[in-house]
Amino acid sequence: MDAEQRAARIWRFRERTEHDAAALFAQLAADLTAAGAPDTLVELASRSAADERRHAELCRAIVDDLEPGLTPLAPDPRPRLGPQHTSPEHRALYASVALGCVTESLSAALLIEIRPGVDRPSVREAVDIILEDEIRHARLGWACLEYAATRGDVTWLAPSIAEMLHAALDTERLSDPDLPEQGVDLTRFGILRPHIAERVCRATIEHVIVPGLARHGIRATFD
Amino acid sequence: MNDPNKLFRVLVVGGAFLGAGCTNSERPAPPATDGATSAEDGGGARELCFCPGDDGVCCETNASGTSVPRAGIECCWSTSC
Repeated sequence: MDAEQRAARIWRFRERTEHDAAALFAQLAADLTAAGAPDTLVELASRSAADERRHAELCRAIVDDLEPGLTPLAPDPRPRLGPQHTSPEHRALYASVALGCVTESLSAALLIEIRPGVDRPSVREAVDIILEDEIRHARLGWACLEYAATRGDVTWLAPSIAEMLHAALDTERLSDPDLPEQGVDLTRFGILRPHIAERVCRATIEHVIVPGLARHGIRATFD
Repeated sequence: MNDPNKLFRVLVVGGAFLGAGCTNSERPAPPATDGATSAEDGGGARELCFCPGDDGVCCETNASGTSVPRAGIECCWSTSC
């Protein structure tokens, strides 16, 4: 498999995760509505779902550019985050933190690192658009946490943070588990070397996510 | 490697303002910290821009017609505000 084919498969995996994220943000919008959250947050969640659908289209355009005819992976038919048999407030907070504070914060950090090394036009266009959106999506997570913290205790989330972090990191690693550490360099296609991605994620967890959660008394531990 | 302190300000502090119901023109002091946060977390002289992408509040057009952040505004990393 050549570099373009390998990159195409990673972008195909990203296409699927974007579809999953669209479904999760749509569910978040519904839970925020049920929880009586401000319209601003509900609208941002709905907009985020639409953004993610657009991201999936951008990923597909890259796949078509790199390996025309490569068929999409089947999306998760009903992705879920966290406990389902609880109040809309708790579901919304869990999803906000898992999606926004953790996953989208990591994604924004990775895209910032990816962007300078990209030279493929289709990838450059997608990275620019997705980065701008991911920053907004991450802020939505931090905004929902801020709002929830003004209405009650949010520290019950603390035991779940490590699981959220591991899930986000696993998704990043699963994009290409066979990518050799010192093998083919796919940076120009928007794919970081694994050790660089790991370093960016670790720094973001340590300096952004953990201190951000600590502002609200959520003490997160992560190995 | 990106600057984690900047990322903290843009994502965490920017999101906190949004969650507190603020707009670009009205924002409260951020929540109390426990010392684990960025030294620039308290607001200070730098204006944080929420950069929603379509309100034009954060940007202006320079002489060459390029959209750039307004003076005194720190925007996100996006290619456009």
